[in-house]
Amino acid sequence: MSWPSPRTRVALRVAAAVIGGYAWTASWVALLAALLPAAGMARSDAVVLAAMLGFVIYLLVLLWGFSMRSLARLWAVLAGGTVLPLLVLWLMR
Amino acid sequence: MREVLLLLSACVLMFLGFAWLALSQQRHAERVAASNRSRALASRAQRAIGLVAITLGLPCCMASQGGSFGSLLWAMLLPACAMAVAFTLTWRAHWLRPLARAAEKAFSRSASASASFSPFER
Amino acid sequence: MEPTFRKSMACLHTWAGVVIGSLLFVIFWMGTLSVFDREIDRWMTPSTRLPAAVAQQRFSFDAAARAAQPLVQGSPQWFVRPPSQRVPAVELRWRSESTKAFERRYLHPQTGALLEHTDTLAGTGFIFPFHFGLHIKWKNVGYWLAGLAGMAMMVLVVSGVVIHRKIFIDFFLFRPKKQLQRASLDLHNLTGVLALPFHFMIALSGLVIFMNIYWPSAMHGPYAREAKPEDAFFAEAYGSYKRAKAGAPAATASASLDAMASTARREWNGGEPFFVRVWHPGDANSYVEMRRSYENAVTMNVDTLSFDATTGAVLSWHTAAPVMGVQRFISGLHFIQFRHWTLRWLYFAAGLAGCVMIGTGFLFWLEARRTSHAKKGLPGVRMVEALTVFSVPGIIAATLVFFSVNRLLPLDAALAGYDRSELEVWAFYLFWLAALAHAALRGRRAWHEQTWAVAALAVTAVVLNWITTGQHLGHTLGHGLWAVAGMDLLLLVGAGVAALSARHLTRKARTFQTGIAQDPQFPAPAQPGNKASHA
Repeated sequence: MSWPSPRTRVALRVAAAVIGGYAWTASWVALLAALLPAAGMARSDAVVLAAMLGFVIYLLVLLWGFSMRSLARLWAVLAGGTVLPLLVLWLMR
Repeated sequence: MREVLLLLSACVLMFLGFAWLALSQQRHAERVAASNRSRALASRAQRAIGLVAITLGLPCCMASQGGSFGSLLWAMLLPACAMAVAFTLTWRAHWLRPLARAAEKAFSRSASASASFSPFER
Repeated sequence: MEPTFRKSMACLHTWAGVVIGSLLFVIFWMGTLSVFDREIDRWMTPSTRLPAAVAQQRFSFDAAARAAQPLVQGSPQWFVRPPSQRVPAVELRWRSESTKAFERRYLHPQTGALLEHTDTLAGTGFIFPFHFGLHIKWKNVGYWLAGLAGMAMMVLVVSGVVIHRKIFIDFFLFRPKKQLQRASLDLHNLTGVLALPFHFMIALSGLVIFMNIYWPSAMHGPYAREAKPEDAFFAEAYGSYKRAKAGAPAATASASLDAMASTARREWNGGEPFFVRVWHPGDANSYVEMRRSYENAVTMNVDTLSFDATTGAVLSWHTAAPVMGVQRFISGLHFIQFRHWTLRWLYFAAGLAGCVMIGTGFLFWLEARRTSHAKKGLPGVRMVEALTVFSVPGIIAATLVFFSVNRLLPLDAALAGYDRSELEVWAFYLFWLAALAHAALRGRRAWHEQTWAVAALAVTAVVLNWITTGQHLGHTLGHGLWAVAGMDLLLLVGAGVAALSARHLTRKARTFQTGIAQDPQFPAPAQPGNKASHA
């Protein structure tokens, strides 16, 4: 692929990993925080646990985002993975 | 007083443990002995002893300062002692000569015996 | 991204390091200083340099409240901290009705007299908040930048391990006599690998402290049905009890704070109240919030008791829930508010190691690319070099200027509408900006020039302390003023280290410029494309 230019590719990569990765993680953190109380945890504890795990998950997503070969697949997985938990949350309500 | 002695013992044990580990590496053993004599070190036993000494620092710290402070203290002493060894090797390598001699006496082998694939050695 | 995972991580480590490194150093530097923020406070507010024995006397909250009355009149809230080993005076703070900002004064622990006020932000007010918020309050951008740096730190640590192939072989290796590129890489690897668990833990724990800011999405699920989700969460997790004021004055005089403190000690099995806040003083709904000391544990507890101000009845009792307890332990690993001097010094040393790690990372990158960028006419090295000098020796020098100006300004200093504490901060930023200009103009020479400036400024600060307070090292060591003695000693040691580094950098720069290997230990200067083998 000659398009997009290398500089654009780098920008898209960084945006994917940093911003896309954050959105993806935040989405799953929200779902986790909503599901844990159903398992018996106090809701304040659920929020705390989900948030703490969020940092570790985001770290892994960043490392993965910067090493995955295909930029297109990266965006697809991030977009899909961000929407899915939000969908579940919306259905739960 | 007991706390201070236990803490000092931990520091000494950990320093010696890291020094022992360093001396099991060709480059550092040569520098300390200030000679290029080839020596077959690659001693797993030597490294095991080094690691044990470092680990023994943990119960000393915990006995000195209690459970949570003790383990945190040990965790923070690890980089401090390791760096102390590294800087000793850099600037005052001859201070470790007695230790190197002891290591040689305890773990000397014939030159052909070092067939180790451990990650510590090339 | 790259053909192999390792190559991707190499690319990531280099780029993240170069782009975020400056921000990281600033945060690490201010964080390392924050280990001794209260000691810096003592140095910058000479009237609070009281000997330790004074702090150990029995303290009465009621006496402190009486002494505070003339100052806190009309304030919606005020709080007091009893004297401690690190802060030997009584710290009083209140929200000013007019400015809505918090005022701080110190009282003598025995007489309750107001100690001479030095209007300064000092360590706890400038250095420490710089560390976690960069003093950029607009839309929490400062917190987000610090958060980005924290995540980047963890990414850098992991990627650094992945690309460091000879991690065990190089474990104890440091060759300062080699050319700067190799020596920097050795030291970068040494400080990085040996303190690896610390670097990872300090980054993660720092992020965990502000989990609410970074993951706002977490709160809205379980608390969706609350009118105010955030308030509900904070009440349940942190025990923040709130009661609106009645608007009517209190019927009787307020109950004894000391009696409440005794109740607190009983409830906490001997734990001491270290923080007492009175909300809506004089109002019928006034209440007293007491928090428990952090001195004896790693965990920063959230044990809180709230009492009705008039009757002394317990209104609210809170302790951390199990998972929150873990968060408080992790926070405690970062905040280190416990009383343990060996650990405090070890944290300080590890913080300095982190600063060295970031600085040497930059030095390595610059040396490795210097010749190739010069040949290709690329601006990269020049730009990064200016930024690096600005963020490494530059900010250190600016901090020393902050200390020196604190000693120089008269107590009632004010200029162009800025009060004394603001003038100190202006001096810091103006000098820092000048350092940037100097670095941009002087190029490579700026490194050792600014490092010499650091050495000179550190000595200047010590001398200024002597001149303005008369409490030189002999006096402070002799009278047990350990905070001031420690600061003066560290300044002098820092000056020595800076001088040695500056000399080392000067020598290396000269050798490079002559282009001849003067020292037989030096191999030929790095050829373009010949990256030092760390991968």
